[in-house]
Amino acid sequence: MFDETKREGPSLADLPIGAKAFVESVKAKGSIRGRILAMGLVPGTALEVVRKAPMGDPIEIVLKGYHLSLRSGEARAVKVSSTPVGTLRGIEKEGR
Amino acid sequence: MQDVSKNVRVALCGNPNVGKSSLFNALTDSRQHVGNWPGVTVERKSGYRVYRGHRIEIVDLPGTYSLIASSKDEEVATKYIIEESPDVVLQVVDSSNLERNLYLTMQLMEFGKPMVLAMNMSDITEDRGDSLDLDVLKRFLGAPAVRTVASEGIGLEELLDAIVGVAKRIPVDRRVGYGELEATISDLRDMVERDAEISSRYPSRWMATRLIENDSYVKGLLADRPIWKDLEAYLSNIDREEGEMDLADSRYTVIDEVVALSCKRCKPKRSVSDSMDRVLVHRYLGIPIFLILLWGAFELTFSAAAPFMDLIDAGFAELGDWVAGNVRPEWLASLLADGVIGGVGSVLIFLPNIVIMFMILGILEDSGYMARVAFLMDRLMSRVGLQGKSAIPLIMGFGCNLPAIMATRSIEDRKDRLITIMVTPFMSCSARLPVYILFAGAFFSHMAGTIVFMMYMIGIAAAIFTAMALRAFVFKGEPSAFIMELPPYRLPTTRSVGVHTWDRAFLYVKKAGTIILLGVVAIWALASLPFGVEYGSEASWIGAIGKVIEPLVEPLGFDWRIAVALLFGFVAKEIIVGGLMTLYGAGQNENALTDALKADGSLNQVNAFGLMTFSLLYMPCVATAGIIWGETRSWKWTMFSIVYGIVLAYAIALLIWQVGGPLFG
Amino acid sequence: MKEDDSRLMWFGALLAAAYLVFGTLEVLGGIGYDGERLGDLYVQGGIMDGLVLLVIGAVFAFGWKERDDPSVFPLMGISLGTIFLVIYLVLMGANLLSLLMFGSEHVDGWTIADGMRPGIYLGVISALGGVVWRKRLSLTMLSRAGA
Repeated sequence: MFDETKREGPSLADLPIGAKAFVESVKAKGSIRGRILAMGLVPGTALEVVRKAPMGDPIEIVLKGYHLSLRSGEARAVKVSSTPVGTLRGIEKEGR
Repeated sequence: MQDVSKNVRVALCGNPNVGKSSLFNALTDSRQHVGNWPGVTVERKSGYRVYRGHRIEIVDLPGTYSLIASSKDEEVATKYIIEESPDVVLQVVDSSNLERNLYLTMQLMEFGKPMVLAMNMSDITEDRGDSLDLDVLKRFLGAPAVRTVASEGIGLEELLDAIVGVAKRIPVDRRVGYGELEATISDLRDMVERDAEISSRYPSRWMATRLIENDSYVKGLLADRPIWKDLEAYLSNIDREEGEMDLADSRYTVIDEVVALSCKRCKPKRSVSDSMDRVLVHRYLGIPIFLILLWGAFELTFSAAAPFMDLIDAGFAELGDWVAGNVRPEWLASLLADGVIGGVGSVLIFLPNIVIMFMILGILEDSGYMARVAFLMDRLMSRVGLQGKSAIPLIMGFGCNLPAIMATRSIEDRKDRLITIMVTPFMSCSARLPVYILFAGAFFSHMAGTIVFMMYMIGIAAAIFTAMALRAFVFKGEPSAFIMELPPYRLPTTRSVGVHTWDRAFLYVKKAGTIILLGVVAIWALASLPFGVEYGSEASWIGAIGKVIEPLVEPLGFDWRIAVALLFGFVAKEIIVGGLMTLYGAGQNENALTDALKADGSLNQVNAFGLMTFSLLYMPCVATAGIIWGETRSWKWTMFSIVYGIVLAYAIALLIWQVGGPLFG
Repeated sequence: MKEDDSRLMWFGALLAAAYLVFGTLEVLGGIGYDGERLGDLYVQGGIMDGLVLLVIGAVFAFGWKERDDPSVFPLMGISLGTIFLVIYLVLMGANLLSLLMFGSEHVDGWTIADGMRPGIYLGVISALGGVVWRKRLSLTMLSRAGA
């Protein structure tokens, strides 16, 4: 499901209800980037998709023990993976 | 250095929904001052308390999740801490949600101020069996942490002791280590410190991190300094997006450690809230439940207020009659009775609405349901350039635009709020109904209901059009984001709802009162001058104005009497009917007016429809215009709302008469 | 607990039926269906009142569809029914106040019987259910708001 060679991994918006995943990176720009990061969506964070609003958007996720909703537009900028590989927090990262 | 042993200034910070206002109210009692932060529409609240010989002044900063100046709220908070240099920074922390709350703590620590943490809602944390080691927290963060339950006033003394305790001390130096970014931070610090003036005023490490995070406020501070060129060149060579992520990452790494060491069994349980959400934001039931609750709120706001409104109305009528009968000279009696008393009455008559509506809104907000409404409605509202939180004010607008515009306060995003305020006047309020009933009854007897319904639809269409146009042209290229916490459901307290309601009601009377009174007196003067004319007659100034603008409204199929009635309508739209009664000499009898209108050869179905449309759209009433000014603090937007409404109404009424006239007339 | 759950579900089913039937009657009355017989049941014929009853009925009814957490829907139905009971009582009180202060002409001849409606007596049944299952309603488990 997670193709290593593909540069663009799946995003939070692609996850079905009930899926659990880890944040890999945040691609958003500008002030929205800061807001996403401040809410705790930093690399390595575990999250779960709880539900989607009646018309499929926004989505509700749970992370760090609290519930957060965001539009799929913002969710698309949050790349996720099924394992926290390579982005474990506290481990030095090399060669960006 | 000022004498802090007598006067302690405290900045109150915290995330939204953590009980910050409750704590503020509990700490300051009612010794509060409510105002606005200079230049912005963010409310500024401050208050004080005398405690053991200290005068502790507390400024309630806007609730924020972080302190990178990307929103007005965050900028206001940052600016206050930096520029007004409070003695103590007090952060309210939701103990049941430590991790996300401590992110703000990490940023506050960078200011190098003495800090105190109020571990609020500790009752919930303990109820669910968590234990929090405050000593570990204190050692780790270098700031005393005190257990509080703000809504019940628990832990206040300890908190005040802690505030007084740290106020006299040099703050403990605690900083987040940023790993490999430290080299960059240190480079930036060195560059900032070359400017002696800047580095003496602002903490350089804080500046360095904020520069990486592209903070507009810090950039503004440095933009006209000689060092800026070098800084800019340096910053353009580093990957700031990666840097921003690494900073956030490091802060959360520290938080993970703090939480792991200080908190046992911190596994948040939300079973009750989760269960409730299974129903309240259910795929099929969510929106219907919201709609019926809204209808209930609507009924309460407008029907339950009726006896109180009637009472106020009757009281002012009585008072007016007494003044008219007993005060001499006559012009003074008329000024007092028709102008001042009528004007004050027209302001206060809405007070029952406002009080009930803010009680309901307070309950919805405090319970956490408002966030669900935004979640449910966002998809629909974002399609037309608004957002989820716009739904409540817009629908309240069908009752009365004025409290609806005050209700936009729950929208944090400035642009979204402004757009919502601008389109709210197109929601056909109940004051416009008498106009529709009169004309629909007189000219469309067989299909009056459909015509009235069409008016509501035209209003909604105008609102959608306006919102989309504003989003597309005025706020072009400014993306609107929707990232919102869904807090757990809570039981609202009487105290918190009461304080909220009182604040709003008071603000309404104070802000709207002055400007509405001015407007009403101005209209009175126009209708009564020159001396001796019959109130609002052809010979009065307003009659003269009506004559002057008659050529303008002629293409719409209106004569001078309609023009004058519409001028009266600015005071309050239901006055249009009363104005027409005077102008058509129909006394106080609506049936006589209907006959007179039918008998008037210049009116037919087409311009009657045009007139209804015009009175729907043509600018908010003076009370609403006053509150638009009060809420936006911008003459530009207030004028825009008035002028745009007139232009839109004119264009549509023109279309109706010019196209419809030849076709159906 | 299991037995209690099934009792709660049956109570919910009963109220689902009642709310849906009366909701339908209200809506029918609202669009002009024979008003005379409905009056005996205090059905006022209000479309919005009918929709309120239908939505509350639907909440109760969904308890049978989503059975993995069987108590939530009946309990929320009970809460909504009680909320509307309170709303209707306040509206009745407001009209009564108008009647007492300004006389019957001011309220277009409104009487207490005009304030009576299915939302009230069904709401009373809901509220009674709320008293029986007050522990399950667990409102006390919600913390008090501090915001």
